[in-house]
Formats: sequence, structure tokens, C-alpha cells
Amino acid sequence: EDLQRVTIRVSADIPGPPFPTALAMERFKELVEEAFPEGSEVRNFYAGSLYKDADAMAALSEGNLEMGWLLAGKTASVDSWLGMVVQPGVLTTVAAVHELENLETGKMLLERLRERHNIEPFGFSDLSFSLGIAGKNRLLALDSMQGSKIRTFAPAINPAVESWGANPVVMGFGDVPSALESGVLDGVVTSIGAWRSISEQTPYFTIAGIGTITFDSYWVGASGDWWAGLNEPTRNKLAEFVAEAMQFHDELSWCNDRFSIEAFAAKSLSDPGIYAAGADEARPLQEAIGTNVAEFLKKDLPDEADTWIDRYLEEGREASKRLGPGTDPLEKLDCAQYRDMLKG
Amino acid sequence: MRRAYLAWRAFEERFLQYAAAILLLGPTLLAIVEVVRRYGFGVSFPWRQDAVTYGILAAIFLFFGITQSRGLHLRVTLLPSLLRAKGGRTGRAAAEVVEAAVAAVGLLFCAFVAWHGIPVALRMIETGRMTQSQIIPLWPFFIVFLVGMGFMAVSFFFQLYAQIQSMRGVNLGSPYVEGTDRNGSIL
Amino acid sequence: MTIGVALGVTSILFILTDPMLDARTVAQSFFSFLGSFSLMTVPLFIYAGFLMERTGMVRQLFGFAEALVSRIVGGFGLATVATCVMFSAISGSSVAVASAMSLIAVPEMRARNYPDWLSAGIVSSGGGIGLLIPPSLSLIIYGIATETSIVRLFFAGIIPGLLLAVGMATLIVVVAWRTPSLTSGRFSGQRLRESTVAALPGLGMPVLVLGGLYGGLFTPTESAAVACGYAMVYGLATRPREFLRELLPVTARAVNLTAVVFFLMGSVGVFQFVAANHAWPQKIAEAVVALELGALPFLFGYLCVLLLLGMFLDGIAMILLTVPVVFPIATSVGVDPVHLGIVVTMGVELSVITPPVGFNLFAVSGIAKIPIQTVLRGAMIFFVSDLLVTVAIIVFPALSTWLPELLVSGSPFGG
Ligand code: NA
Ligand code: NA
Repeated sequence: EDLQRVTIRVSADIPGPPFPTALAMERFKELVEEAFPEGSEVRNFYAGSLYKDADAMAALSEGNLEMGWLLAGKTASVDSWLGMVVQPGVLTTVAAVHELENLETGKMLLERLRERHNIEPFGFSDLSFSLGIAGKNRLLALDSMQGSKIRTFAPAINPAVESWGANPVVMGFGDVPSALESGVLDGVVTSIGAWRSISEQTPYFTIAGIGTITFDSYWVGASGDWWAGLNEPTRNKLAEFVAEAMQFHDELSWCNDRFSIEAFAAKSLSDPGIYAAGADEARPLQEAIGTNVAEFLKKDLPDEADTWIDRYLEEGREASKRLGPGTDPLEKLDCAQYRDMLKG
Repeated sequence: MRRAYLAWRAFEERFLQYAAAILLLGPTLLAIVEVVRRYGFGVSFPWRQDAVTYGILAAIFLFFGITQSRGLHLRVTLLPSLLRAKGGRTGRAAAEVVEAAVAAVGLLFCAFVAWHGIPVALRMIETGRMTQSQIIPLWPFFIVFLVGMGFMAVSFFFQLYAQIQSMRGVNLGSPYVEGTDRNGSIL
Repeated sequence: MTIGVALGVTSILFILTDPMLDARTVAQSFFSFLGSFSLMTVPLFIYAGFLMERTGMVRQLFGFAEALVSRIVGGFGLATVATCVMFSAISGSSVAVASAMSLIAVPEMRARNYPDWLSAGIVSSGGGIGLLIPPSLSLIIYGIATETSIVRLFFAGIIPGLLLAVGMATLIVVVAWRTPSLTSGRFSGQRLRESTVAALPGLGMPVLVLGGLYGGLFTPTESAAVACGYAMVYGLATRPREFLRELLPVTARAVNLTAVVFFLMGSVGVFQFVAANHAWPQKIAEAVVALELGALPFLFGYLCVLLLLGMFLDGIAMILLTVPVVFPIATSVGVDPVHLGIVVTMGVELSVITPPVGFNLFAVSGIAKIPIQTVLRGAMIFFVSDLLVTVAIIVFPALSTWLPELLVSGSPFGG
């Protein structure tokens, strides 16, 4: 059997190139359009221009979209179980994050996409190893957090923000710049990539290790109906290209963070820019969170999910211990090769 | 049929429009209270934004049919106006046929949206789809949307009926008094 | 034919003939296009405008303007323009401004021998100021469609709005000079003092909204809700019984108008979804980018498209159908997003007085009971001054971008 001609719409709610995820989606497009028969096409949609993430997930289930590069935290409004991933302080090393799809919880969630949502899952892909807190002022010490209004990207982060004495605010990212300008917001929990677009309003960005104060992950999937209609060689080839694009994405995402940290490094707490908090500085935040997020999730999710939440905490922390800092190949990657590409 | 039409119009003008008005008033007051709570007490409900958004939207959806019954939706009336201007009985008759056809298309459109929205609603209920805050479910509002589309289809249906009656020389009248919102544009 | 239904039916035909989409996407895309908190700014500002109107505030503003300038030649015309500016700072809609002024100012001008074409021209074109002086519904919709800061857009509209008023005022003075039959008012210091006090509550609302946005108290959506609250408190304080009796009907009126607009917007949402699926916006954008136009020719070309569309379409449809295509092209040829927003709004502002579909023409004609040809004659004179202001705004971007840049702090990293 030969490769079939394909038209693939891929939806993501992230900025276009040179944003790392978009570059990876463009790589996937190139691979497919070169290898597949004449007339094959990949249409990439950025910034939710076709679907917002939650709608994209529904569209995958229905067969009104072929593929999606979606965030677990945002698609949790369609299936709240996906919010389980969005727990801070669980996967705290690069290698542990990459272990997610091999953990029992990760496997269960991907299987759940297949069984309950008719979505063919390809796995998880790194959002960012440098999620942090952007602020008008330096938001790190618990004192600085008191009473400030902080926008979160997923409801599961709200209990963490609350435990720091701050008020979590839910709003679309489009409203964020004006809300910061108008003082409705004081800060935003976000990735470095997204921070770059609001650095004017929030000069101070603070990161504290990997996944210690907040975490989220992409999952990449295809419409089950569409996938089932493809022949074996086509499926295998596409799966191969998706895997290649995801690997490429993780490298770009990693390097993009490195370049930003390099370019905007703040030497001290009072300088604007990206400040990487040490373990001692970040500890009060982690201690304040405690089990609040897990408890929130248990309340939010049906009872049968509770044991999974405990299991995720356990196996995730174990993975972080087993796969310590420096054990992942990504950490040894030479980023120089991507410098020009990421500048756009 | 005529009685059904008048009953429908009475339902819209005497009940539905005020129910919708309360649905706008409530979220407006909530939004104001939330501003006060934020400045007075430094707190806000995480579901506030969703409640305001979807509460107001529910009011608007329920009004779709009313505005249609009142003939307020933004229209391009070039063809019927031209036909009427041409004058004569043929011109007027042709204009009425065109308007009846337009009402029929509107009826089909709204019925199509409402009907094909049902499986979407069922799926939302099945998966327990939530709004952004993940505290308020989304599906009740989607159902209100389908109901609003259904109401609009009913309005189109009666408009089609009224148009046909008027072609036979019967004027059904309307309980709505045209006000200054005749044009329907907001800009 | 309802524009919304026409767009919706067209989209359905595309969806049904597209093997990649099924019928369920119609309801979904309609619903999800409207589900945004920012978009609620639209009904809330409409509501606030209606509530303010019911409190009799427009008449007080007119009284104030009249006491201030009616002594000058063409004074009542100028007072009408000044009231348009002040009411524009309360209402986000040009039709609302034109309608209110038709009711209040046209009879006054008629009593002073103003020919109908002149007074109708003033109010129908003066209404357009409502879209530039914040709050502005067209700037809100542009801001949401392009994720441009609504606060910046609001401040960017102030100078263009005032320029429109200055252009109109100049024309009025010229016409009045050559029409000796127009009577002027008399100046009275006491009347000015009294009317100023009476107008203060009306003038307080823009101070609250703009001050709140600038000073960082609320988001645009909240500022609209606060404006509603302000009008409610004022209504309750001055005429509690009448206010409560009228509250629900006025609220229903606000939902009514919003429903018309949102039905159209939902249908545009379905159409945008279909267009996005086929990547039409990108394809059109690529074709235009290939022409390698500069920013200025591009903007003038766009203005021509808007003027053409404006003859037949409502402003919302004009914005939502063109902006998703035009915005990426404009930014790639170096047009500032805020500047583009003002240019689009000027295009919409001109369209409300161009036939055959000119909503302000209909509104003024209907309310002031003046034949549409007469309204049109007056409006065309002011169309000229409005067009000149538009050209100036296209050629000198600073007229729109300077104020928001002044008021919103810069970035430590250069943006
Ligand atoms: Na205005
Ligand atoms: Na027009």
C-alpha cells in the first residue's frame, strides 16, 4: 500500500513563528508535504484562529479537525481529569517531565483520550521548563504576593496562588495586557514565551526551578475517526513525523527559554528581567502550597479520580528523585544551532 | 393559526423580553458588586467572569426571536424596495413573494442551527464541559442558545405565515410599537 | 434579507459541501465566537448609554453647551456639535448619539430658522463622533478582533474625535455666516452657571470611565458595568419612582439592540470559521503582501474598500469581515495596530451617513421627521469635512498614536 493523499488541519492556541511550538508545527508541515503524494497539505492554525483549545478537543472527537497541539490545563474544561497534570511540585526535573507519558497516570490519561474522546494520542510535549510569575514588581517573597491579583492559565493553579496569599484571576490572555495596564492584574503565571509579549507591563519575571511552583504540558492528538480512515503506511509515516516534530519542539522550547534567560537575566531581585530563584528562595512558596492543589483537584474531580491524584503525586515525585538534574539529554543540547531560527 | 400567532407574540412581548431583561440586569449588578468587593475587600469570585459573560449571553439568545418578530434584524431590503418602487400590482406582489421567500430561508437557517446543535449539547452534557473557570457548566448556556435559535425559527415561521396572509389581503397586526431602535445598528 | 441569515446560509452551504466539516460546527462556531468576557463590553456600554439617556442627561448637556456658545454665529449648530462630543463620551454608538440629538437639538434649531438640511446634517454626521470619543463600540470590537489594547484604542480616538468636531464647527460657522436668517442666542452668566451645575452629573460619567481606565481601576468590561452603576445610582437619586418603573423596559431595550448585533456577529463568526478552514484570509493576505504596497497606499486602498462596503453593510460586519484579513497585512507593512483601529473606525464613521444603507440617515429622518433626501443633502456637506479629517489621520499617524503613547508607560526592553 502507498501513502495516501492527506489534508491535515492542525490547531494550536499559541503565537505563530518564531514561537517554538509554531516552528515545530511548520516542520511537521514540511515533512508531510514533501513525503506525501502531490496535493497533500498541512494547514497550521495559530492563536486559536480556527479553534480555542477546548473547542479543538471537541472538534477532534467529532472529526471536525485532524490534529491538535493542545494544553492539558485548557482542555481540562472538556475533561477535568486532564487537570491532574497541572500540579506543581511533582515533576521537578527535565528527565522527570519527559517521563510523564511513561508514568501510570500519564498512560491512563492518554488512554482516556482514546477511549472516551475518540482521540488518537501521540503523547505529551514540553510547554516550558521555565514557567514562572510575571509581575509589575518582583513577585517572589510571600510578602510581595499578599493581596496581589494574579492571572492563572488553568483553574488548577488557583489554589497554589491562593496559598501564597494572592487572588487568582481567570481571564483570556487577550484581556491580560489591558488588565495589567489598568491595574486589574498585578501579575501573571505564565511561560517565558508568553511573558515576552507582556514584558512591557510586567518587567519582572521570576522562575524557580522546574515545575516547582506551576506546571502544564501540551498533549498532541489526532481525530480518532480520521485516523481510523487512514491506511497503515500513512498512519506509520504520520506518527513518525509527529514524533520528529515533537522532539524538535522540545529542543526549540528548551533553547528558547535558555536564550531568553540569557538575554533578560536580572542580576538582583530589584532589577527588571528574569530572575532565577534559588531553592531557598522558592521553598516558602512550595511549602505554602503543600497539598492544597491536590485537595482542590480531589474536590473538582469525581471520586474515582482521587486515588489517581495520590498515585500521580507519588510516582511523579519518585520519578523526580530517580531522574535527577542533568540526567536528560536535552540539558546537554548545544542551542547555538537554533539561535537564528528562534530569532525569526 | 392566527390565535397561535397572537399568543406567541404576547408570550414574547409580555413575558420573554422581561425575563431576558432580568438576565442582563443580574450579571450587570454582579459585575459592579465584584468591582466593589475587589477594592473594598481585596477578593473576587473565580467564576465571576464566566457568570457575567454567559448570563448576559443567555439574555441575548432569548431575545433573538423577539427582535426577529419586531423586524429589527439588519437587512438589505434593496430588492423588495426596488420592486415596490417599480410600483403596480405586479411589483408589489413580487416584493411580497421575495419577502416570504426570505422568511422561509431564515426559518430554515435557524431550524438548521438549532437541530444540528442538539448532538453538540448532548456531547457537552456527557463530557461535563465547563466554562473557563471550570466551576460553572457550559452546557446549560448552550441549550439556552439552541432554545433562542428555536424561538427565532418560530418567529420566522409566523412571519412567513403573516406574509402569506398579507398576500391574501389579511393584515394580522402586531402588538409591538416601533420605537427608535428601528434601524438595529449599534455603530 | 437579514445580513446575518445571508452570511449564515452562505456558510452552511460551504460547510455542507466540505467533506472536512459537518453540520454541528455551525452552532458551535456561532456560540463560541460570542463567548468572550471582553465582548460583554458591548451590551454593557449600550445599556449604560440607554440608562443615561433616560435620566434626562442629554438635555442637560445640551443646555450647558447652548449656554456656552449660542451667542456665536451659528451658535446652536455649534452647541449641537459640542453636545455630540459630550454625549459621545457617554455613549459608544453613533446611532445613539444621532438619535438622541435628533430628538433634542433638531426642534431647537428649527425654532431658530435653521434649515432642515443643515440641522439634520449636523446631527447625522455629529453622531459619528460617538465612535471616536471613548467609549466606542467599534473600537471595542476592533480591539477584541485583533487583541489590541482597548484602553490604548480609547485614548487614541480622542484627538480624531475632536478633529471631526472642529471640522464640522468650521463648516457650520461658514454656512451660518452666509445665512443671515439664523438667529443667535443671548449669553447669560447666570444661565451658564445653572446649566453647568445641571450638566455635572453627565460630565461625571466620562471622568469616571476614562479616569478609571487610565488610573488603573477597571478593565474595559468592568468600566462599562460601572458606567451602568453610575447611571442607576443617579437615576435612583434623582427620580427614584420613574427610574424603577422604567428600569426593566430600558434594560429590555438594551438586550434588544444587543441581540440584533450579536446575531449578526455570531453569523460572522460562522463565516470566519469557514474562511479560516480554507485558509482564505492567509491566501488573500499573501496576494496583497505580494503587491509590496507601502503603508500609506495600503491604508488609502483599505479606506476605499471600507467606503464601498459601507454603502451596503453595517459597521460591525465591515469590521469583522475585513479586519482578520487586513490586520496581518497592515502590521507587516508597518502600520501601527492602534492607528489601523482608528482608520477602520473612521471608515465606519463615514459609512453611517453614506447611502443607500446609512443608519444615521435613517435614524435622523425617522425621528426628526425629515425626508431622507433632505437629511442626505446635509450629511454630504459634512461628509466632506469628515473625509478630510480621515485623510489627515491616515497621513499623520501621530494624531491617533501620540496620546496613548503619552499615557501608557514604555517598556524597559523596548517593547
Ligand atoms: Na463614544
Ligand atoms: Na453607508
